[in-house]
Amino acid sequence: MRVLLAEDSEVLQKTLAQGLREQGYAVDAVGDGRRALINARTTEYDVIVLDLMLPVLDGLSVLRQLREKGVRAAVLVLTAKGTVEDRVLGLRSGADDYLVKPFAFAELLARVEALARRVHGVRGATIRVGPLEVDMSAKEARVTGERGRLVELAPREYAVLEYLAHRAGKPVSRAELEEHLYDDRSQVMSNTIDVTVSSIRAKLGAAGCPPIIHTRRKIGYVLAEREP
Amino acid sequence: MTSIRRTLTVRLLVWMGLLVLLAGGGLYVGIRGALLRQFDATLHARASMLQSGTKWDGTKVDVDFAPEAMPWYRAGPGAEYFEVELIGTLGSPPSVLVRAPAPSANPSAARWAEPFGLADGTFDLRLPDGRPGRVEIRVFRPLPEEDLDKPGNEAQRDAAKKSAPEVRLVVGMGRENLEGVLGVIGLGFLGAGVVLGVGLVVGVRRALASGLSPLESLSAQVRGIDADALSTRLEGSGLPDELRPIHGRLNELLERLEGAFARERRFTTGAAHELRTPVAELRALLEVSLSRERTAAERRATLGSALKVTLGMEDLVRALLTLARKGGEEGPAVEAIDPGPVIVGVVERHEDTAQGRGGGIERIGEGGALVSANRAVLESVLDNVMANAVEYASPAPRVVWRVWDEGGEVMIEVSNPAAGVGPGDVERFFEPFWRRSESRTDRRHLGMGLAVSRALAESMGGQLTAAIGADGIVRVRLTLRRAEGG
Repeated sequence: MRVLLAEDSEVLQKTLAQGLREQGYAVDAVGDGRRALINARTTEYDVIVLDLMLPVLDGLSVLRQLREKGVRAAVLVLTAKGTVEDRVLGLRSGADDYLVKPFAFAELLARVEALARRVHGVRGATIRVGPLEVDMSAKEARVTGERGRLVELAPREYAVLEYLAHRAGKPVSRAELEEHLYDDRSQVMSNTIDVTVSSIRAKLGAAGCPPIIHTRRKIGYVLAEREP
Repeated sequence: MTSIRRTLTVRLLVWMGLLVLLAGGGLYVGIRGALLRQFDATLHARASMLQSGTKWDGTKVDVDFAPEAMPWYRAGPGAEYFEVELIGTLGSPPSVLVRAPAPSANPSAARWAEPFGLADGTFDLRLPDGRPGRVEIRVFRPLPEEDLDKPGNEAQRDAAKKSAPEVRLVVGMGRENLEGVLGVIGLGFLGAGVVLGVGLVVGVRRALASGLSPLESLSAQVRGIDADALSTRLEGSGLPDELRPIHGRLNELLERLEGAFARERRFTTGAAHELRTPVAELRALLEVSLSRERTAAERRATLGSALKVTLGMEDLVRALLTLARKGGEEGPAVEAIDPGPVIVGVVERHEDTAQGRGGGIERIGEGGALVSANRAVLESVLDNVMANAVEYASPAPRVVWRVWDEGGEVMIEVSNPAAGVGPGDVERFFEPFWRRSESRTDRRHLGMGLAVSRALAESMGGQLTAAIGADGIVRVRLTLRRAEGG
């Protein structure tokens, strides 16, 4: 999942970006409203974490302009303004959720996860595709059945699998995977996605899972119990 | 709990009741006195008539009493009484010469006027028939018969005058009619008093309810005001003149309270708001750091960031404390100092920044007067004022310093053009946490600099004010007392 973090506090921006990356998110961090607006309009983010008190262009203006331009990313407003009026204003301006500073990092993570699920139309914290079970709260994948067991995945591999699980049954292009799983700091080679998918397939097979990630020539990949 | 309406009702009713009682009582006593005087005048006329008819012929006393001419003495209900007695000598009882017929019908009461003896006067008593009455008693020597007044009888008349015995005349009248009239009048007064009393109670209550209704309306409005309704203003239409000053003052007070509450709320919200971000930073730093195993270098970096955040919080807390102490503690020790070198030092510190923005700092006037100030505090105040002027002035700022003295005070003024600043902004310059922009890109700016500077200026007995002219120039002026000998 790719997250845009717009926060003018340098410490908070750096720390939250680090924490989110460590949880497998691709994070782009900006420090003012203008850059946040540009990033959000040029990149397809799953979740935008938006501070309201941004320089150059305040967060509410960014939010309104994003909604006017039809940007569909879920927006979590992060602010020191905690009155009911502030929260109502934020939510009515197009925010999907609201978190008042100071907050627990675990809560921020939980809200970002929930928003990411909502963006892809997933309700629960677990996605089942055939014998594969992806637990998004525990960030782990498991193969069910007699021979089933936990699949040991690297963070990047888990991120690819989770994204495919969110779009289960639908083809996902390599470009889309790159867009949603790698941030501006990442250097993505042309075969990075293919190598990662290949590794996931091997680990799923070792865990007793039948082939579940199917290649669609010149399109990308589909996570489905049977090849469509 | 005392109530003005209840107190006024009770007091007015007591006083008006007393007035009614006094007026009614006085009137009754007056009427009674007039009727009694009229009664006594009748009695007196009766006595005079009988006295004039009592004559001494030198040997006996003749009483000219004709019952047919004086029908009021006839026996019967309501009859009047009289008797003429010849007063005996050497203590012998007086002998009755003539009396009204009535008492003879009641021999046991023959001596009805005996208790009053030979005293002249008018007295109340019970008449022989038992009725309450009143008598007039006269003791006199009867005049000689008219025949002795004829010429040639002078010697005989003089002898008769000398030999005339003393006679006691007692005339009595029943008072039942008088008492009846007085009773009717008394009852009338009592009835009128009851009606008047009820009328007073109703009237006083209604008059007070009507008269006090503006006060009660004002009171109800004031009761409805609490800390959450300070924007309320009291309705004043129809208020009497006596309440208008109270109404006006209360509305002024409410306006000041609303302003004070709003400032306090902004201060508290601002303080909480400013603390939220560094607390969030610290919490995020620690939680993310603790979320997995870290290397020593990573831990050191986290602690360094946490220290930086903590130092920022320390600045904020120090500024808050400075404002909290405002007026609560003794100010810093002041001395006579020349502000010139302090100003020069401040200008040098900010000159590069001003030039970097394409402008400069200009100084007008040498001043030269000594001011009563604390050097470190003065430097802090001027440094903050200058930093604001240079940083928030329009691009290519021309910041001007002016120093002059006037009427025992020294003015140090910093002026700069500030595009987009309005009079409303200038009024809020000294409010804690106020910033023209809500962003806080630069964490050095807490929005408390001028608020703290004003508190510091006041701690030295000075003033820090700001104004904006029609030319868009913002002038921040520090006024300090001129030091003695300066």
